[in-house]
This record gives sequence, structure tokens and C-alpha cells, in this order.
Amino acid sequence: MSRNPDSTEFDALFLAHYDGVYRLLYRIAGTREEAEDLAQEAFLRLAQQRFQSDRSHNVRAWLYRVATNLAYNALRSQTRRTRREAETFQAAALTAAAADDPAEAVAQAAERMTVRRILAHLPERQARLLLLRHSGLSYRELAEAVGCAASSVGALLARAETAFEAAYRAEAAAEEE
Amino acid sequence: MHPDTGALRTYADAASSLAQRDAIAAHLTGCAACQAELAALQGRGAAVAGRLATLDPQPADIPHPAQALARFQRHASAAQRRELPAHLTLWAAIQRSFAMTKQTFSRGWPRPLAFGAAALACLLIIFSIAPVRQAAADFLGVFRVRKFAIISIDQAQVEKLESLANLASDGRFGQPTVVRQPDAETQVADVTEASNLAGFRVRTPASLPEGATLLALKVASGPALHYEMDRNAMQALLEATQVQGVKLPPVEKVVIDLDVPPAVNQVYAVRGGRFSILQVPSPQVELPPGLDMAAIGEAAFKYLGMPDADARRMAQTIDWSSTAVIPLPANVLQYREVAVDGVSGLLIEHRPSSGSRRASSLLWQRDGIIYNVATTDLDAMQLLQIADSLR
Repeated sequence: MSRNPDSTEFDALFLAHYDGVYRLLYRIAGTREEAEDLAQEAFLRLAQQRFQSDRSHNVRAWLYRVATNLAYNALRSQTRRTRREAETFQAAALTAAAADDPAEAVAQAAERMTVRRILAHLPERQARLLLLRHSGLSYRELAEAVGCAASSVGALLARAETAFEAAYRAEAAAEEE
Repeated sequence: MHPDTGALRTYADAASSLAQRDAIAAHLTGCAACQAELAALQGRGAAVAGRLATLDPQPADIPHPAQALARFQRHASAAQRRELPAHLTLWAAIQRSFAMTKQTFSRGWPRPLAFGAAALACLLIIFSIAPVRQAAADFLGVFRVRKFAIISIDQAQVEKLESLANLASDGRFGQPTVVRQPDAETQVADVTEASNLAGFRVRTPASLPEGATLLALKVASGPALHYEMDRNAMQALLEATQVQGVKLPPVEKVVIDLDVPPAVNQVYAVRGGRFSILQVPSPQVELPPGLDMAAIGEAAFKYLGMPDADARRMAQTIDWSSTAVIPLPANVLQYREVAVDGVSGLLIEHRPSSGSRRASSLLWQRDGIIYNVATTDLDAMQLLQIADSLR
């Protein structure tokens, strides 16, 4: 297969961003299989773009936004969601059984499910903002990735964190009762 | 003056501008209230970061990027060969928008967001992909696609459209309701059954390229949506687009009714690839009378980066009651007008970039039906021959 001159540039972008994109997708999807599939899809979209090098500073924001969109579209699919939950459960059970401290592993799995559930119930934009911030995007990249003014990222982030913490505390209080 | 919460949160992340940073730092030294708020924001931020960190993959679950790249290269060419590029097939766009509408309906989410997303997807995707696309409304207030017009946009504009669509899916521009759900696609046995199900006479090609065989014949019924946009929603749309000089319509709300008829798709295999023939009666959009469509169109063109004078001229020449305006990313797609099926149509061709395949798509309208023939494996001449042989 002849190598297009663009390929080298693409390969470099792939290697530079794969890890970050994969981790972001794993946090949303919850399984390695799905995160890998979604990451492949995100980079396929990137390959279909004819992006110019002078726009390279935007590639990360673009890629993370596309990846988040893909992951959320996948989340919306009822059948995949059911399957994923089952898989996550199995994976958690297997990890717990194999762990040195099964009780601790179970507690961690429960914590992950709580965090995931809270994110699912937040307004989607807030959830995206939190996940993308946690994935290391700058304020400018966050603005691009969620489609807001750079000057409002701080306020949106503060609101999202407040909502997240309130929901988390409410869950914790409900569990103690 | 105290900095607001957003400014403090930005300061906590060391993301403020230099001037702002210095101003906040100076203020903080003498303001216990703001010190306390900053500490609370930092604490909350750290707490959330800690909880989100539980979602991180274990080291054993992180693939090596080089291995992932090798896997990508193995699968990418195969994947691109299988799939027609989504932006070239109206069918893919229709399927996507139907699926979205249906999912939101069946899932029964309490949030109205999803309805917004679905309705917008229908409005946007079926009438091209332009979020600010405002079809129609001459004195009849009814829009049907009779013509297509293309404007070229660049990558930055494509991204602007995408971010606008994201805002729309957050419900920022109003909350449409589903009047009629779309059904999932139905595989039918023959053209007669397809015609009966779709309610119009489905045409088939009399001449096919050598070795072409029918893979699938599918019918998908479309949704009907009712969309009300009040002044707040209109204002939000204006602010999001930041288009200057547009007056809100002199009404309290704009009501848009969208009705999408069933679509029929024939998929053929040819020489290891495939091509598809889509037929769909023009969706109908009812808009309130009194909207100045030329002015809205002009604003949309400006939003898409057209110089003011060009935007005005273009908006004035378009018949807004019957023209679907399609923004095409000029860096990946090129188009030309062609004579097809006895009318004038558009041939849109994909400019192959790294690793992707050549692809082309033919779009025209005749007797109230929109046709789209798309392929990755035939040349434009063959595409035109198939189109011209439809009986």
C-alpha cells in the first residue's frame, strides 16, 4: 500500500493523542473493549478530516469533542447500555474475586458505579465538562469542545462541580440511612 | 469589587489572564470572604477530581498506542471500504436522525433535551446539515424541496455548525415534541411492497453496471415533529451564533411543523463495493407566515463565514420556499451541476485524503421526490447512467 504523505502526520497525531482519548473514553464507557472501539472510531473520523497543520493546536479539542460525542451516542443506545452494564458488572465481579482484598475491590466497584450514575443524571453538558477537564483540556480547549465562550468556562465548571458534589453527598446520605 | 465565582474558579486553575490574575490576587489579600470562597472552590474541585479518578482505567487496561495504531491501520481501510461516507449519503443522515428520535422516545428520559436533539437532527440533517437553516415561508408558509443550492464552507465553519448542534441538543433553542414516531427500517421483498409501504411509486434502475446485485431493499418511516421556538429560544440562538443585525421576528413564538415521509433505499453490491439509491418524498415544513426568510438566510450565510455583500446577494437570489441549502466542506467535497433524470442535479465528489476512498453522490429532485445515488466504487459516469435509467 502506498503511503500518503499525510499518513506520517496522521500517525504522529494518533500516537500523541491515543492515550488521552482512550482514557477519556474508558471513563465514559467503563470497559476496555468499548473504549478501544470508540477510540478507533474517533481516529477514523480524524483520518477522514483533511485538517491543515496550521490548525494543529485545535486537534486535541476537536478529537476530544468527537470522542465524547461518540461515547454519548453509544451510551444512548439502549441495547448497548444494557450489555455494557452487564459487562461492567462481570468485570467488577471478576476483578473483585481476583483481588487481594475482595471487600476493598467491591467497594471500589460500587464507588465507580455511584460516580457513573451521578454523571449520567447531571445535565449532559456539565458531565462532559467535568470529564473533559479531568482529561486535562485547557480552558480554551474546553470552550471549543463544549461550545461555549472561554470566559464562561470557570463559571460553568464551578456550577458543574457544585451539582456533582451535591448529588454525591445526597447519594452518600441515602446509603447511610 | 469581588470577583465572581467563575473568575475565582478560573483563578484556582491558574487559567486567568495575567491582568485578571493580578487583580484577583490583590483583592484576595484583603478579603476574607473571597478567600473562603476560593478555598471552598478548591476543595470541591479536588473532591470531584478524586471521585472522577475512580473511573480511570487500571494500567493493565491501557493499550499501547503503537499497538492501537497498528490495529487501526488494519481496520481503517476495511471500514472505509464497507461504509459510504456518512456525509455523502442522505440515507445515513436520515437513519441517524430517525434513530435519535426513536431512542429519545423509547428511553423516556425525563429531560426534554433529547427531543430537541432529535427534532433538530431532522430539521438540520434532512435539510442539509445547517443548524440555522430556515427553510421556506413564502405567503403559503410551506416548504418543500424543489431545488438544491450549495455553499462552500471550510473546516472552521463545519466545527461551528457542530458546536451549534451541541447547544441545540442541550435544549438551548426550545423543546420540540414528537407527533409521530419514526419506525425502524423494514426490509421488504420487492419494489411493489416498498411502494405500498412508502406510499409512492418506487423506481428501479433499468440498467446496472456489470455484476451488480441487489443486497437490500429497505423502507424507513419518518417522524413528524412539532417545534415551538419562543422569544427566549430565538434570543439564545441569536446569541450563540453571534450574528449581528438580525431582528427577532415580530411574534411571541415561531411554530414549525415538520413531517418526514417514508424513505426507500436500495443497496447494490458491485465489484466488492456498493452503491445505493435513496428515494424520499420531500419532507414538508410548515412555518408561520411573516418570517423574513431572506433576512434569516442572509444571517445564516454570514454565520457560515460569507462576506456581508455576498451573503445579501445570495440570500436575495434564493427561492426560500423551495430551496434546500447545503453547506459543503470545500476541503473534502467538491460539487458540480449535472443534467440527470431529465432535470438539473448535483454531483458531489469526495476528495480522498489519507487512507480514505474516493466517493461520490448524486442528488436531485423530480416530481416531488428527492433522489440520492451514492457510491464508493463507481465513477461519476456510471453513477449518472444508473440515475438516468431509473424507471
